[in-house]
Amino acid sequence: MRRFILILSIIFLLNTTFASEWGIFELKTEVYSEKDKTSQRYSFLLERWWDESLGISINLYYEDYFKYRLGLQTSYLRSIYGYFEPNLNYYTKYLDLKGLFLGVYILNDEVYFLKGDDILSLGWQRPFTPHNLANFSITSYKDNYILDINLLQQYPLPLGNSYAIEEISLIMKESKIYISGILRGELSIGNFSLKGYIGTNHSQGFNLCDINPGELGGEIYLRTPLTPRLMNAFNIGYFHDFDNGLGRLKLGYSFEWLLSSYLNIESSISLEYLFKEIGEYKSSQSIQLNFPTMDGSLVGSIYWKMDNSAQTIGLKLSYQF
Amino acid sequence: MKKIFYNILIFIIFIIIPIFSQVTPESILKDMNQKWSNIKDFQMRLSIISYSYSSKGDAISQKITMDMFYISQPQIIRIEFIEPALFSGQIILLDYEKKIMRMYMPSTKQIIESDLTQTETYTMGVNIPFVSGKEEDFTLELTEMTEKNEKIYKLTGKPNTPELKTTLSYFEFFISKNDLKPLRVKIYDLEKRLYMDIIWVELKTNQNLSINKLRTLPQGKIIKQKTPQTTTPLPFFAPGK
Repeated sequence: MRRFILILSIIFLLNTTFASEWGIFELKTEVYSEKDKTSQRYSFLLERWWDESLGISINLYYEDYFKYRLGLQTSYLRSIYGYFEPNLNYYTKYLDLKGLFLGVYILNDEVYFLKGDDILSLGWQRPFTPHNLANFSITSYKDNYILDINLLQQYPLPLGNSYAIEEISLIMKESKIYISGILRGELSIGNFSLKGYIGTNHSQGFNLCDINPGELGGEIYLRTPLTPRLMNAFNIGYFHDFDNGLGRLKLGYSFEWLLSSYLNIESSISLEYLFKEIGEYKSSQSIQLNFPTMDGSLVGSIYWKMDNSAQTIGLKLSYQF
Repeated sequence: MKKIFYNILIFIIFIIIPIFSQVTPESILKDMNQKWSNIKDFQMRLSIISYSYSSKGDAISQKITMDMFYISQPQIIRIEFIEPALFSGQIILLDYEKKIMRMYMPSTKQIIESDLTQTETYTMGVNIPFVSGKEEDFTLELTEMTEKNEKIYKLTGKPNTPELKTTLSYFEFFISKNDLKPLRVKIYDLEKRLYMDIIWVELKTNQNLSINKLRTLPQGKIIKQKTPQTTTPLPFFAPGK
């Protein structure tokens, strides 16, 4: 840990001019309230990049107890230490852990290692062409062994970006192999965005992504402008569990209204309905008022979120420099 | 009497004719280029209306409006799209000093960054803007006119090269006579229908634009694109067939 802080300090001191220097500073506090408990949370984030291959990140936050996340990126390695979501692949998207991620660059490849409380992963990432990237990993998670193969194709557009990802996840358990697979894609141009995915999660899989174990389904998200200052987005998804014959429907709507150069509003509402004899539903709403200044580089925000069990009110100040 | 006649003739030949011959389409373009290559910075609002035609001949138009900011030293170009709604809020930054291009995407709140591979810098000339082909590829004709009490040069250019002859029939370039500011370019397709209309809504020069302000983009996650843009990100295009 001391060595880590020493390396960070040296990088701070070596503040020479690089091409794509940027950084972000963010302070946040929110009051989280559920039935039996109300607490205040605090978060501090500082990220500084001197180049795409040289940067640091410090995130300190308090949620019931003190947590931290330290990140370092150099030309030869990248490392994350503390509490974080490794986001290694789709099927462990929402995995939150305390541990260490260490990636080492060998030519254009990256060999990485992840160690957490219940997880150990070793992987390898290779860009086969400038537009094609493959990621292979073997992970042990709670005594399950997973081989994950992830292929990404990226197609830059003159005024936007698009990509497609195919992923296959093999879970090995008691001399059997269980297969899950997903296809994802995104197309973004200006204010238009179309995203979608369709896939399966085997019943022996984990409940760490948008598709629950045993389900087959997909979701589509479309964002379009109504006027130059009013954007709206819809999402709809359906997932079916063939083991118990139950379906799950997800619906969402959000908008972003740029009222002036100094105020914009973001709001969203989502509903998830489980088809049963007596249907179950989950819902969530949020609204956020943003007060940008300095051409949008400094933004102060007030937000409110509510779901079935809790409400949150927060303040955030972020500065991108 | 003969002497007077000769004197008048000499006066016409040496004084009047050179004055008239000074103003040619080529000399106007040369003067404009000289003037614009010396400016420190400018900001302008530009509208580009492109037309396509149905089989019945009905015109369908599409308008793009953008604010463009330019600083000559260090050379920085920033383009902010205003309309259509699809591109509203999208910003393109070409930073020739840092040799990077940044594009702010409002839909994903990302800043896509790629290397500027062009080693040469952008030449801030106004040599027939938005028309592919060089000045010498066209036969230029000059007309002077007045519109809303403003004296205007109108340059009409007809293509000379076989390649350009297959893309456009002619263009009209309107220039303010007073300060040599570009006002409008109209490009006509092979059937002599208006194909593109470019209007400089507002144009200000030497405003002491701030370098930092031009480089500042709205908040967004910076995504480094490994491959540089192979096509120009600007929606500037030559008329089709």
